[in-house]
Amino acid sequence: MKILDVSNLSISFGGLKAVSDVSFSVEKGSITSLIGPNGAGKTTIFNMLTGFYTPDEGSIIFDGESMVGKKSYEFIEYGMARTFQNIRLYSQMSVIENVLIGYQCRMDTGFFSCLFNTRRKREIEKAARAKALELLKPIGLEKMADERCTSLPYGKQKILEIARALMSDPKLLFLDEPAAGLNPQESEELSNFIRSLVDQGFTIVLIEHDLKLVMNISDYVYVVDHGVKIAEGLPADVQKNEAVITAYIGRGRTK
Amino acid sequence: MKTDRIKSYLKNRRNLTQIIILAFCIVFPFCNASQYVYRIAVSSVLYAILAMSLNLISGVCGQISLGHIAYYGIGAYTSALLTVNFGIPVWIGFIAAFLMAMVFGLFIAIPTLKLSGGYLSILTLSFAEVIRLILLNWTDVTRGAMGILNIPLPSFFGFELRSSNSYFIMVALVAIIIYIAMSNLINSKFGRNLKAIRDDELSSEAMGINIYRTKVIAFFVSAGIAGLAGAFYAHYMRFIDPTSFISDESTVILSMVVLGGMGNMLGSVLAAVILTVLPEVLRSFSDYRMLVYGAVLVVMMLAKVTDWKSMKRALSKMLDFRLSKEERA
Repeated sequence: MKILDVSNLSISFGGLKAVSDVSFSVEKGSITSLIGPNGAGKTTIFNMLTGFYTPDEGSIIFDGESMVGKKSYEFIEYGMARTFQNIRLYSQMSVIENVLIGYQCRMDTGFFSCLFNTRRKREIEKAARAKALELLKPIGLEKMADERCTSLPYGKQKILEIARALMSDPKLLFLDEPAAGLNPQESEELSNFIRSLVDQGFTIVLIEHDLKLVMNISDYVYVVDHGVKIAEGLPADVQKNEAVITAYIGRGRTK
Repeated sequence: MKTDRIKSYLKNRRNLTQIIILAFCIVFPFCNASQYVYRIAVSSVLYAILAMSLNLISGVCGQISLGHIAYYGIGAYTSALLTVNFGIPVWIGFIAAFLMAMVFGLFIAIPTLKLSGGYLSILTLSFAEVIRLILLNWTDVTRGAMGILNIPLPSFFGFELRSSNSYFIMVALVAIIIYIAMSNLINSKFGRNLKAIRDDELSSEAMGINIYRTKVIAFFVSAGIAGLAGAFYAHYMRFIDPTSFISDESTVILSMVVLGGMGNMLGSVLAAVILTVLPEVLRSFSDYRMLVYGAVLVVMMLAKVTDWKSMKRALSKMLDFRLSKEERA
């Protein structure tokens, strides 16, 4: 079953056509990766999919709903959550507060129940806290819940950012270069974590430079270069694809 | 069992400070101190209310406003004009001041909150200046530099708040209510949204926070509370003129928020009290009063006096610095 169906997505900035005519779809319960050399337009596509840019053309159908033109802060409510390429945690907030932010869109407490600290608000808050701790447990951050998030090591911060997105119970999770800047061991830990998410029934779209990670965990791979989709397929097929090899390392000298 | 709970409650320094302040507010009005002391106390409380209201937008949400005094002025004039010209009861004047400041808060928030950082500060600064000039020059209504005289005292159930200590009871009560409301807000979904906006707007948006709406609500509430403080001021002084609402005052309030720690309501209250009492204590320095005041302010900022933990850290850092210098020599 397709959860996300993107067709003919295009956007240009001034005269630069950053992404043109890209189509792809994501199966429920899979890991779909989007790869490509630097400047290929991966993050631009991501930003269109999560509402930060409005595409010039094309459609984004998520779970039967057209997402084009929706506000970026509405996406999470529909069940699309994302992380960022460089860590964007709330630096002055504690670990648990960071995770709780992911749950804000599901918390039904209005301004006045916050103001008067009503019984209902306290109950909702308590339940949210319990859920957050539950989420922190498997990633080993339960004991650090009240620490500042900036005191965590880099790899943990990356995972915390994913946990924040998970808190919103997303139907589809976008990860923008989760392995960037991680050492091999942290990268391994991350790929195990991502795989465990799929086992729990999450659907994941991944942008990644670490090709080893991509080839290991992806179910399906799309390759873009210069804003155009150049290949798609199973990881093993994509690895052999002529156009992909050319895009990444160039063509051999013709004799 | 119960005493254990009380003990652990008091062990927390924040709770302890709260209790001490509360106890002080209850005992102080009956201490029979001079009216001069009570006057300072009332103005400390008014500044505490202002600092708390500014803390909501500047401290918690990170939107630095340099024109907070404008809402104070609007509140003061609204209530004063209504009660003097139309003879309406003072408590209705208080509510009117609250609402009017809110309206102006909204009026300034809607166009400006798309801006960020320095732009917002400059705009709020100029807004405050515009309000001051209107108060000064719209003589038909505000009587300009002559100010408004004979503003009635508030009275409740036939009891007029004539003395400073009875006025202190009223403003302290309101300040406590505002403190509780603010603490509730900060420790809830709304407050977390504000903090998230302060730390990172982009990811807040991705996390489903309607940034603009949240900021506008915060501005709205903050302006209303400042307006209420203004009305208290007007009915306490019984005379107001535009010189009370110059932008220097905004800076004073902002320095209270900074000294108290951004986002720390209790700190704001303590800083407001310190910065209001200090100039009075320094009166013995006569001509050099403001010089000493400035120097003390700098030292307090460096030592972070309103938060015990950061004060300890700051002091040990200073000490370390000195020691390492000695070692080098």
